[in-house]
Amino acid sequence: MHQGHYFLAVCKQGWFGLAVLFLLFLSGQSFAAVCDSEQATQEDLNGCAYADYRKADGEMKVVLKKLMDKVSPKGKKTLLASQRKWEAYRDAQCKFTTLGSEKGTVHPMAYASCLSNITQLQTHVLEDDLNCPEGAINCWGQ
Amino acid sequence: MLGPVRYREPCFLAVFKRWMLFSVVLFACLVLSGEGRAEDCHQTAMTQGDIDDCAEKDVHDARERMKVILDKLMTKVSRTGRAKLITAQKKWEAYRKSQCDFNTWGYRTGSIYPMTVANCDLVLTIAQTELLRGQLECKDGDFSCGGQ
Repeated sequence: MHQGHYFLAVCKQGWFGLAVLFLLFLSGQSFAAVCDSEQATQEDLNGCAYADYRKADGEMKVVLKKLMDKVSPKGKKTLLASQRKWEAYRDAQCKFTTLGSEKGTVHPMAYASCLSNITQLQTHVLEDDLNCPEGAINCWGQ
Repeated sequence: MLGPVRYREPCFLAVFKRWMLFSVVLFACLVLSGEGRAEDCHQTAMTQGDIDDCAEKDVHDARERMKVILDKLMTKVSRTGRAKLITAQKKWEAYRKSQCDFNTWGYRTGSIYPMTVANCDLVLTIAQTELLRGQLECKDGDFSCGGQ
């Protein structure tokens, strides 16, 4: 009897988990649908572009963390310094790039899209450092 | 008195063949000239000094190409745009130097160090040139560029 109760509880939890997963799936779907829809408002599109940027930033941070774990303490310091310079460059470049839309409603979208673009470029640079083959001449031994 | 019927090539086919031949010859010339140029320095360099010079030349050429695009962009944008572009380029220079410091850290005491720095500079310069080119060649209606 006691075991039966336990089984029922686990079962219920399982169903609850599945329901949560299903809802998450649906919300993801509707988010993607809003972003692709022709009826999307500018505000929706701004949100979509920002979500894309957050995704790109998350992907870069994963690579950065792996690289940080790989390099020496001195290399870590140099890497952190270069990331700070990169952030300053990214912001300045995007301020210039999106100057034309500064007063428009599309500005948040344009700015987020610029951030994504430059973040993806930096992710490639860091990935090359992380996956540096032995004997390569532009990345090694940090 | 009908003679043998001779096959007459349609006009468009003749033109097509001529253009195909022309394209093949042009392509071969381009490939050969590209290889010839590569032999100038990358394949003939024997000493580390030669290789360093070769890498330096690549960076120099890439910087010149970037400068051409940058100058054109400078004349295209407004006064505010110019100020923002100058700031962005300064920040990019600082980033490039810092990133290449990190990338070449393992070689700083070796003889190939100048070459590794040049190589890193080259990659980042090409990427920045493409970004600037995107701004210069911005299409009408593209919200992500132009109008500075």
